Amino acid sequence: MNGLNIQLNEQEYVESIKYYSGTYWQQVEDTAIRECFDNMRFIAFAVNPTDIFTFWECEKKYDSKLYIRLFDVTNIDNFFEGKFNWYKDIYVGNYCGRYRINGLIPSANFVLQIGVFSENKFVRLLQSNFVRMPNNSISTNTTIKMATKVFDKFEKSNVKTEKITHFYFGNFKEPAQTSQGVIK
Amino acid sequence: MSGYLNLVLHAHLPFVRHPEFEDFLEEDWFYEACLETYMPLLSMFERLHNDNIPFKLTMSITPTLASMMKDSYLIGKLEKRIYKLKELISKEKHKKANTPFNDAILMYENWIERNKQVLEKYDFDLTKGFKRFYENGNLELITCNATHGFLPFMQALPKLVEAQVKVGVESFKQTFGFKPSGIWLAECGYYRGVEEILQKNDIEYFFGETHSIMYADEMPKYGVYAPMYTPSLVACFARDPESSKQVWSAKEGYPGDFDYREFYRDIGFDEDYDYIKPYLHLDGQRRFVGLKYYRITSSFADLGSKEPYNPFWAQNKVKIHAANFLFNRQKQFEYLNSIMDRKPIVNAMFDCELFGHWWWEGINFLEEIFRQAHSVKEFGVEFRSAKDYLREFPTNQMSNLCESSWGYKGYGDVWCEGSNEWIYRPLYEAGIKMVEKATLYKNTQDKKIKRLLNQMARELLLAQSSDWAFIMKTGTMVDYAIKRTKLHLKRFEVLLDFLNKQAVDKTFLEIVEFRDKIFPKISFKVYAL
Repeated sequence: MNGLNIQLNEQEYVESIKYYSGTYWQQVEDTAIRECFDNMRFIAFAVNPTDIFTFWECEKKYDSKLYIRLFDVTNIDNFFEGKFNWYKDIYVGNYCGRYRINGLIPSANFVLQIGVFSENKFVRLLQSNFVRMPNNSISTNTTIKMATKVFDKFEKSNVKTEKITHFYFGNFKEPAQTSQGVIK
Repeated sequence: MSGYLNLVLHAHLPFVRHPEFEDFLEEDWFYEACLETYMPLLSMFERLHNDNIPFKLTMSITPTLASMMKDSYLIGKLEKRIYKLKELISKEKHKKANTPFNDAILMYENWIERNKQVLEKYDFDLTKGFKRFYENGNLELITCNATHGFLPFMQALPKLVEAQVKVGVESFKQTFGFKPSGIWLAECGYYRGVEEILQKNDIEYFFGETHSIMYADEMPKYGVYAPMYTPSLVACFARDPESSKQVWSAKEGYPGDFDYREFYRDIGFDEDYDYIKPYLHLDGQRRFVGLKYYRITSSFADLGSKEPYNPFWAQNKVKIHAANFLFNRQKQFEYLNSIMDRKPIVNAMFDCELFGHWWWEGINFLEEIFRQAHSVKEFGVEFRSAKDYLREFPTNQMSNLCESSWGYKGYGDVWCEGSNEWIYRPLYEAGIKMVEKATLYKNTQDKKIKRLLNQMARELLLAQSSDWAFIMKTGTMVDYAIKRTKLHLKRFEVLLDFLNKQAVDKTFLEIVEFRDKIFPKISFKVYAL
């Protein structure tokens, strides 16, 4: 099958590849897939206003010893200088795994570190990306900005601030129910 | 008192193409959607055009679907299917003459003939049909991110999002010949920051779920009845829950009416096996062939108790429901005009395949909306696209929007839960490798390496399709979704191995290029830092 010519007419080509069984083909037909790659990774994202999903991979020598430290960094600009609102530790064990953290605060910002405890002190191995949790309610902030766009130029002009005095759309239902309205 | 109605149809299918098999069950998704939705839509546009009925709607045609519409292999099989159906309908016409099914059979005879004409008229490329109505000013065509990947879950590595968006935009330009002004973010999946990537690609607006605006950082002055700018001045138009629910809900909405066609009763299961066998796949398993002769009848009737379908009764209901839909918009506009200082826009957003495929009469319903809105001015319904609305009202509220999707519960739960969360670790690993290698080789002149990296980009994009996670969650065709995710990731690994060893199995590369013939002009450099 080596040197198969892609210029064959399509039907012939279809016929010929039906019977291709090269080494690499067996490899992709094998359905097992890895979740650990011998690469250090730590990634997190918000699934909804209260849940973060995270996965990681550290060195194998840390297996069964790992903790995630979750930092609330809402309205914190200088986390890297050691500032945060609060943190909590979650034992996750495996050197390579995934975890869902529930019960968090909507609209908050978090960053995660994974590490081990040594002499009662948390030793960071990896830090995740920052995660912003989605909002889950209508804002009470009535001071709004109105912007005028000049089309085809992507220019901002004339951004004005104004105040909402009457809000008429407060009967909006929860997102899970947005499709549950009544037919008139 | 009038207002604007922006009807938005999201036309999408995952890229499914299996030339290695004579018949392939999941390829049927494409043939069924073409026969029951996309081609009847084009016929409907033609009728409105011929009758001088003004109409305007928005369609997002995803790059995966557009690629399939232009694929000669799939279209050849679609044509073959049309001839097989014509043959079956002809047999049915004789077999069931003078039965209660006669009118339905005549309806199918017209339907298949019209579809055949549509395919021929547009030279076996349905994208040409949609482009024609764009050029006529009836259709606002927009793109979607390349393979319908759920972008909020890629945000930790922005290059993945950039590639999805850029390939989506470029692919659209290659298909339709112009730059899209809007984008449908797959699953209406929005996160803060994606607008900067949209802006870099000259995208003016996108569509979001209701709470993308309702839960913005500041109170939304106009609710969802005007767009909201993100800080990048890319506008979000959010879904109106009221008009949407009326149409899509099978239980409470129009599609569940007892006179409408029953989707699940099909002659593929009803007819004698030997009679229907030539119209099944080679494996001989019974399946839907597309001819259904019964109406919903009642919400309690089991499939065996359904009554014959009467196309005239159904058409009558279509007229009533279209009038009701417009009446409700009239009432909605009356209220909105009383509280707003500008004309409201109602964004009624739907999966395109709802119309025709799931709800057989849905295409006629859309047609009736345009006809009645034109003939009954009292409804006060004017059709307006997002692009036109922004030019009429360039001043809009600007805020940070809420991360959201149109999936169950309104966020990302559908695409990350027990059944599918395992995909994200290997997807990110492939993504990180892709960015590393693209950056390393961005200046290479070696054609073989470029070709290898381009195919790696295709495999990654195909693995990222939100459809696979969605199918794993919903529980039908799960094996196929798992297999597709793993297959693309495995191929990616094999190609990466070739690259690392600088040794390519040319046959393997040719075969994967041939099997998943998508994005022929892709450049792996979209991933380069």
